[in-house]
Amino acid sequence: MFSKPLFKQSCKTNGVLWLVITVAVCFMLSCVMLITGRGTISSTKSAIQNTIIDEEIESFLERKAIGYYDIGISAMEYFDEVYLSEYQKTLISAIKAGMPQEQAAALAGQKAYASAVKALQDTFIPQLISSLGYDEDSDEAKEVQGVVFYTLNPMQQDGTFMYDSFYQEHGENVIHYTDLLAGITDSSHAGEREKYVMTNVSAFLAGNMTSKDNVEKMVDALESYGVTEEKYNEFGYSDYANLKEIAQSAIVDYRANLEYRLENLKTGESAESIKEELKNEISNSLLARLPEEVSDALEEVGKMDMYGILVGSIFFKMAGLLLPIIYMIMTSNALIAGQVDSGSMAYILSTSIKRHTVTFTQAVYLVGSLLLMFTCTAVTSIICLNIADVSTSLDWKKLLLINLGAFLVLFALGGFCFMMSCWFDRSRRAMAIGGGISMFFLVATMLGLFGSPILPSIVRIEALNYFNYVSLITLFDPISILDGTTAFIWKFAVLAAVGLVCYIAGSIRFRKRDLPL
Amino acid sequence: MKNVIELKDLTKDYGNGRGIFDISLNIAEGEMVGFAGTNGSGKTTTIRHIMGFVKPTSGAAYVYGKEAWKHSSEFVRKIGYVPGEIAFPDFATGTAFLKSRAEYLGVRDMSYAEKLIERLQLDPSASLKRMSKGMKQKTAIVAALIGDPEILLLDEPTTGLDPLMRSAFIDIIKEEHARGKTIFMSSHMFEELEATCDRVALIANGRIADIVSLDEIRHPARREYKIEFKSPEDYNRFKGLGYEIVRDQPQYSQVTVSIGSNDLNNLFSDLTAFDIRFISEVKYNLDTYFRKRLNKNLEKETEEYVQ
Repeated sequence: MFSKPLFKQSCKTNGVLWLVITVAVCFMLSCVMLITGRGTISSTKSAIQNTIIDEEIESFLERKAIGYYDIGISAMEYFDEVYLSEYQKTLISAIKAGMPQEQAAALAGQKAYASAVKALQDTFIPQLISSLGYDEDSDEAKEVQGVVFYTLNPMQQDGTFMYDSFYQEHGENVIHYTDLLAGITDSSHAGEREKYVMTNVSAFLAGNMTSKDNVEKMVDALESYGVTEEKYNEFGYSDYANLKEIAQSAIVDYRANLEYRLENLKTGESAESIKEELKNEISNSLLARLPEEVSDALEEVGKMDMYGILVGSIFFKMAGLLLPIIYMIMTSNALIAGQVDSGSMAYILSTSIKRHTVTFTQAVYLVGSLLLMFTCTAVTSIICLNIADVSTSLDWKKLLLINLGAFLVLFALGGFCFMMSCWFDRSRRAMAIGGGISMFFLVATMLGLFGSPILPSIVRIEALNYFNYVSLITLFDPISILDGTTAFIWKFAVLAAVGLVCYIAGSIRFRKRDLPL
Repeated sequence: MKNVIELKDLTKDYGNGRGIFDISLNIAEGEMVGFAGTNGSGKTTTIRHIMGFVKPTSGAAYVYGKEAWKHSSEFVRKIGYVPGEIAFPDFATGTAFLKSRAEYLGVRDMSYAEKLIERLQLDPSASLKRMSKGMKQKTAIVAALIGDPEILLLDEPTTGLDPLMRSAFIDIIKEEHARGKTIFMSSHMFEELEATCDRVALIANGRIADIVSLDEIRHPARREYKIEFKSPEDYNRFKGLGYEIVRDQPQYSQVTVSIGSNDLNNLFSDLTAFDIRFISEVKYNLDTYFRKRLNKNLEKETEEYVQ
């Protein structure tokens, strides 16, 4: 089945070509991986990325701030309502009971405050949570509760306030709502209340967002954009003052607009619809403001793993395949057809080596040399990845899979060229057909790249994607490998099967045909 | 004696009358058979069948009783093959190539090869690519003989060799023959077949035209002599003696007589009575034999065609 001298002969006659090509491919690969890994891949990309993240986080904060403000305001309005009615009820009954005016007022104040807090706790919050459609134990429900109570900052029985320490910690000048209650009936109270809510809500938001847990959560959520904690800090989103500023200005905007719109109410508008509209308007992110296609494109660029695509789809699927394909075409041709054409195959077949031993040995040499070549590139790429300092989803396992994919492409194409080499007497014809079709596949893949989804849609030419359907190389799917999906596995299997069938068919053909030796 | 190579109605039809048809030939052990024919007459195709490189359309070639197409790998090792068109594998030098041959054939002892190299005055360290045609031919011959094979299958082995080398080669072949090897050698040069072979098969247009034993050629029953007389009178007088005259050239007073070896003494004693300018034997060789033979065939064909 296997002939050692023949294998030796093939190594000797094709070894130099193999060495040259392998060194060249590894050199190219390390250049690509190290040079692109050294600097930022593209300043445009990172600018787009930063803008998107900046805008996204900011609009997220603005939306939160306005939402909190809304909750805070309605909570305090409810509080005032309950407080007032309770206050009056208690005051009247106390005076009726003959309590002196001042004492009665103090009692009524105390009682009204307690029942207003209780009403917020027992009635307002559950109602709000259910009207927003949250679960009672959900994080969102807790958030609503937090907003209400941090805004109120309720007085405890010993006369201290529950969240003073929180506000003081962030250097806030604490105003207590109890101080405002004295003027509850004044016309200026509504304005005072709004200011109070705004201050507390933005302080709460800023304090909350700068807490370690929440920063981590945000970074996790933004990881797909390539955001690291340092970058997040760089944007200033872990800075309390900055966050508070953002929240406050959003709320100010909202308040002013809301006031104006409510004064000039048009037909068909309700207070609710205006609030919703304003909320969207103010907190609109950059992406939401752009036309959908543009925003999609920008988001795509922001999310793109340029390094992974460069190494996986551009190098191993195209540029890096060129030289191995040339080696494969020349070698597969030299192993059989070249020797039949020149006649030197006679020397092999006149030494009791059977024909299927010849094809088997030569196929083993071809496949083995390709495997060794891609082992070299795999080692090179893993070393380069460790040297290169770049943010990418590539790791050594994915690189191994990508190298395996490139090898399987060569295995399949090599099988085809080998079959052609077994098929024809004329080495030129074998090379023309086998090599021509292999090159066609490679060129089709290059053209198909411009239509394939790995390119951002801005520069994609959809029509060119058809080239991907006519190329065997399309079955090598580095995107699936990079994304960690399993679609690449069956494609690998198809490549392996195509190659295997070709090697077997070539071997059978070679055994059955006349040889002009 | 048992047959080493047997060709039984071997036919390979390439269409348009090309190919070989109904070739039957047996080569006994230790026999040396020549295979003569013009270019394109089917010599190489026949030899490829023996090597099992080509599948016959019908009939079969057997070597040691084994059908060549299916079982060639079982006997090719015993065949030293010099292909008609020499092309070596991609080795750098002749030495590397010969070493690889030895490895393929499991030959350890290179002394025989070295002896051959010396006799053929071959410099195997030369680059295979830059070798002249003759050098390549010599290398191919050494490569064929390196494993000391039982059969030699030589397809026009002397093309490209200069006359000195050709005779050196023929000496080697003769020695191999003397050592009991079975040799089948094709050539379009009759002299070298005549000098070495036991039998020669003539192939023309893909068919065996004739097989002749060289004993018949070397020791023919009748010989021909050309005699020129000094005077026309003598010439006329000689014609009256009743010898069989195959060619008559009165303008030179020349006759060519055909004579059985038993009558040779009579002729010479008769000739003492004449004044002759010269007498020479008309060489009877393979060339003349096959020429005659082919002409006869041609005549027959033309006749058939006319009819």
